[in-house]
Amino acid sequence: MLLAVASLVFVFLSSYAFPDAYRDTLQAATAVGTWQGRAALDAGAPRLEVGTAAIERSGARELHEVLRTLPGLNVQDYGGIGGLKTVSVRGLGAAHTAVCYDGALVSDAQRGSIDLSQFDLDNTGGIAVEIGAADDLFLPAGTSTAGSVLSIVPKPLDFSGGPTHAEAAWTWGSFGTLKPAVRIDRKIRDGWGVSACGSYLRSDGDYPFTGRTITADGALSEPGRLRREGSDVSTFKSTLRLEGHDRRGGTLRASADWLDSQRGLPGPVILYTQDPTERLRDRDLSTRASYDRTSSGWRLRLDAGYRRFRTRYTDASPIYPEPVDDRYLQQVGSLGGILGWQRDLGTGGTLQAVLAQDLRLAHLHANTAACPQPTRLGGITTFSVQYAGPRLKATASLTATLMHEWVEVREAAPDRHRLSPSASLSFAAAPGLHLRAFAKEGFRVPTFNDLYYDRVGSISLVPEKARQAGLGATWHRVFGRADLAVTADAYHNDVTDKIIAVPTMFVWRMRNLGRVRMDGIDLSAAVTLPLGTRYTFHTDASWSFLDAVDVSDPSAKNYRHQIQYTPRHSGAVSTSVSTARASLGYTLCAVGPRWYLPQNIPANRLPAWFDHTLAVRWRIPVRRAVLTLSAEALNLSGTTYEIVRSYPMPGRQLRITAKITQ
Amino acid sequence: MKNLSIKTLRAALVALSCILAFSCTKDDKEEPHASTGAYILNNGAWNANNAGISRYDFATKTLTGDAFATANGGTALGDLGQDILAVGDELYIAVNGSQTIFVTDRDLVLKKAVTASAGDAKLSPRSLCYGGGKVYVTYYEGYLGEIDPKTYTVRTTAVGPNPEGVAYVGGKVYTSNSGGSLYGVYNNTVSVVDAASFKETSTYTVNVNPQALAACGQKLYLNSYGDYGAAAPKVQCIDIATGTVADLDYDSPSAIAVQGDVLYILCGGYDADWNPLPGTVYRYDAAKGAKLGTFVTDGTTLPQAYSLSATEHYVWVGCSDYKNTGDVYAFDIKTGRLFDSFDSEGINPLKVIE
Repeated sequence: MLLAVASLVFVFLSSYAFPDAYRDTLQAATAVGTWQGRAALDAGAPRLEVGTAAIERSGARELHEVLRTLPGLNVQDYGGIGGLKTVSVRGLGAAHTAVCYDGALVSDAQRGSIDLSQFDLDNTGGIAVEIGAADDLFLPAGTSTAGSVLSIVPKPLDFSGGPTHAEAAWTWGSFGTLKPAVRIDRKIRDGWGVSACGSYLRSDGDYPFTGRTITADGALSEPGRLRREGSDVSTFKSTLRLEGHDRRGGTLRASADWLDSQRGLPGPVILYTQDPTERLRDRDLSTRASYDRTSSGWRLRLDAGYRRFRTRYTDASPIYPEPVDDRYLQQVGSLGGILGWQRDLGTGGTLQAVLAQDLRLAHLHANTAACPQPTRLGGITTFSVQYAGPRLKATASLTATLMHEWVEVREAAPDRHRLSPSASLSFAAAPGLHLRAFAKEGFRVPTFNDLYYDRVGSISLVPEKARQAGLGATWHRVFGRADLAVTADAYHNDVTDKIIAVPTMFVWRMRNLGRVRMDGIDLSAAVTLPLGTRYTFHTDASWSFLDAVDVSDPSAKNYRHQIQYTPRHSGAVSTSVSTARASLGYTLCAVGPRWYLPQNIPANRLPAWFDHTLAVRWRIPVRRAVLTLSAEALNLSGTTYEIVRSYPMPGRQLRITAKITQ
Repeated sequence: MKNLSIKTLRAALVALSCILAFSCTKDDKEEPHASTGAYILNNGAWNANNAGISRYDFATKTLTGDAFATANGGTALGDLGQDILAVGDELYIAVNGSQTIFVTDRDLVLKKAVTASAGDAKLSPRSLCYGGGKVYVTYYEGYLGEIDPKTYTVRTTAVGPNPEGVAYVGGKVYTSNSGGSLYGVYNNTVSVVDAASFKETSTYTVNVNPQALAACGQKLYLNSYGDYGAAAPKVQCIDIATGTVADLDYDSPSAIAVQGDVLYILCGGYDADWNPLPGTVYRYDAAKGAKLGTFVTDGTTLPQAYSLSATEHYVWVGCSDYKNTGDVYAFDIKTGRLFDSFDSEGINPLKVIE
């Protein structure tokens, strides 16, 4: 609250002109070619942006391929197309990353973190990651308690070439990968359009790795080439969208997404044997509608959504008398509203006050032993104020969370209520140079699995808190047609009451036992340089340092050791040369050594990995259509490095796409 | 493990609910081996392929970690080292996750990798014992295996679900059938298999979720985990002569071991917040059936006690927090005084043999 008062004080002190009206910051950001877009540089907390042009130049076709190049982000990847992919920001853990798709929070009350592979990058119009205190106040209230927010914006309806826009693409990839995709956008009347897209992805996923087996005569084979078994994927995705503008300047958007996915779960590569027996089927229907209207100093956004996802997990392992057949049905209904008020103070500054409210009902029905079929009702209210002047931007917000749960049997977790504050400040110290600072307290609520999973779960769990504080500077300068942007940030985070599974002699128990302290540095640079009149050179580079130590138990052997799967050093370089028609891109991701178990001893060390990607892209006009040919060579060095212990990544891969657009 | 998936959760229940298993004592011993040290089998972390064997020298009180890999040009032992058994000049090492029994010489140099299957199913070894000139092994898929130590060939026969412990007494092989893969419907039987015909001939009904078996003469001792709810963990004695099953009076037993005529029982338990209580080792006259009191005489506390082994000269308690390398406490078997304690250089020190 102190900062809220402070920001009001700034209102009266300031004497600068306010140039801007409400804008959808993300839409603005997508116009910027590189991910350090201008919109990000004056935010009080780091905001990373990637537009479609940058995605296309880098050759990324899946969300995690983009996210792993961003500073402060750590992608956990179980390997292959079907392998679970999640993102942790600044060491907080994936459950502290909220994911927004098309402005709506994608939540999973059962598991907490979101598998990134469910989002289709081909139909994405841009990605933004807000670390800590969000600069964009028009995010759903449900995101306000998260450590960071990953926003994915679908590609806007395109009527630039006429009332009908059609795309068809075919992708061939290594290990039996095929992906046909179609999209049609159609204007139905003035200001209204519909869009339908669908894709099918199949892959054998039987990529090679090096391993040893036991021969028929009882000897160990020499290391040789083995193939991953049971990692096939077959996924159908489709989306229907309606978008229109009413006469009063309001925008209505409605959409429905359907996903049907079947995949094998190959499990870890266990030495000397391979016997995958697990499979996963996901059927996910997601619908939402939003109305957004701006008028003379006010903006209102209303959202409604319903998501229904079924998961079926089967395991035919011979250790079970009957095959395992677990079925989960999770339904989430949400209503949200955001009301913003903005006033030009005449003195050059603008004051904005935003009230955001989310109401979310989630229910899990499972056939697993002793599942109490929990229901959670959550109400989240966020009040934010932002002062923006030419030199100073101050944002403060306070979020109140209320949560109630019901169960059909046994006991439900007690009601929760919690206040979480955040504040940020950005100051233009010199032309192009911004200094920034933020502080935030967020938390994650225990998932249904944490609370109610048979014998493992515990209803006495309290939320896991994440406190973040960051300081940084951004610098941006235009030299003629060249453009340079640099960011440098340092931060300190504390995670307390970390929810961890504690083994006992008999079973795991979920407990609030962990405490992690993090100190880190994120650096990034983005350069755009014209080469002659035809060519443009882009480079984005980032480097992150993160010291994240476990301070849970001074008597444990891992006290003050770097936490699992968290590199101290990581970095990426993405560089390209492009013309209006073609581009050539190269991306390097480098991640330093990590530990796969809590103790930092040589036996637990996972070596550093380097992943090189080469991408070419060529646009060929064919009559009234455009044919785009693109090819990517992924993981050029061919090493089957491990991000997660015992889950080798695919080695060298090729991906070729032909796409026709009209 | 901050965010457990469905798969992990389910498997976590299975893997941990049956992580402990102990072999029986050797019924008819081979030539006694002049021991100068011990082999410590580290179970490893689930799915991490980091099982290992550390060697401990009594004279110098020094430990050499990862001795199997050192003896075999860097070859890793695999996933979940479950049991180790000395038979003459050979060691049998059951590696559960890797579905292999490695046979080595006394220097841990690999001689044979013994695998088995039943139908399409590859079999995952749990516990080992020796008797009647054969090595017996329980396979978690519901089988008992018999290995011929001359040819290393395996024959299998079906027993109850998810057998853990195995013991050989006078031409009969006993397996404790935990049913541990399906929590909620644990099994509560001990199968009796006739060694000659290699068929299950009868069963005993015991406490739910039976684990380790240890034989002493005509008595068969068994510990069981219970169902983690109403049915408490127990130590029971099966009297083979009379066919009766009797409960021993011990609270929260978690592991047993027999050496000579003494049954050693590790008891621990947890407080209300599931913090582990220090372990206590009790002695029990296995031949006569009488309590002999606590074993440790010098007041050594055993935090996070996890496993128990008894060998010719020492009683070994493995302590573990399941995530970091464990500690082993070696007590003089005659005096109950601490001989040495050391880091086992592996996760979950599960079994020690001399």
